Amino acid sequence: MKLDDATLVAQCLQGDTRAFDTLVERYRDRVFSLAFRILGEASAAEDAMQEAFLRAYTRLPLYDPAQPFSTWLLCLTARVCLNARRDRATELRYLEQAAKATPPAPTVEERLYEREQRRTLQRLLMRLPAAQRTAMLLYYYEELPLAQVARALEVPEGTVKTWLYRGRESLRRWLEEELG
Amino acid sequence: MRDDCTSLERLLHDYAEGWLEAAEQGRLTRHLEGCFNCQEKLKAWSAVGRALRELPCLPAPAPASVTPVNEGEPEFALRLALAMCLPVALMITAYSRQWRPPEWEQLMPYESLLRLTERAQDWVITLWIWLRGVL
Repeated sequence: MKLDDATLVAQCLQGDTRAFDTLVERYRDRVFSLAFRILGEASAAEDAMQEAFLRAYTRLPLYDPAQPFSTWLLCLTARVCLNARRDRATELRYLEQAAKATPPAPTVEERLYEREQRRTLQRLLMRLPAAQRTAMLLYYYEELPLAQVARALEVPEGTVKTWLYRGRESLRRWLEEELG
Repeated sequence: MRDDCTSLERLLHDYAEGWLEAAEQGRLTRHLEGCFNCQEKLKAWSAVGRALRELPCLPAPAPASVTPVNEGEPEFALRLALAMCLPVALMITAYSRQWRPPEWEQLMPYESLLRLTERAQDWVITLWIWLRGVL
């Protein structure tokens, strides 16, 4: 029988670590995908995924059951990714990669992407400022409510709206330039 | 693009998301009815939003090891197994030498039980001393 997230969280809070393993198995692809979309690199996304699950485990007592576990976990993942990017060494590495304007690690990319168009979109996403990109991904890709995105990024809703507008307009313009 | 399109662009985005008040929503709807450029921009934004929503969920790499590995465990298990070998061998030898089936048959059940207990005590003490020495 498939247990719902709330039950698994409750079991985990009672000391059942297998319940958390089930949650990890359930969300690892989504967490990895979001991290990869924000960070643009598979190894960095994997590190962020592990960090996100570790934080989720240690902060589980702080989780508010009023909101879905997936929302809480994905917002936490977004914050982990943004913090990772604030690390200066990491930031420089990412900037170098973005400057090359080609997706890194082709063998990994080949596995991760099915279509060139998606690859282009991911590459263009990486040109957006990190916070703007994260807002775009949380709102459009993960389809989180505006209020949740604002809370995750610790900014007012108006700021998120502006980021979404600028992000979408930038992507529209770049896609037009690339695809004609 | 008409002159007021640029000033309306930000509102147009909020319109697309349904964030506007009813009055402004109506104003933008009226503007859109007569503005081909804004209609095209709205379509392009929708396409961007759709493309983002349709990005595939990527499979996470297989976990190397979820459970932390205690590197001391195999070594401990090996040492324990080795430590157990000698006492067990000694006990088997001692037991086989003292084994006298006819005598056992002549003994009362209580006495045989008593002898067995005494031997068991010796074995446990021997084992304990050996394990403390080795581990």
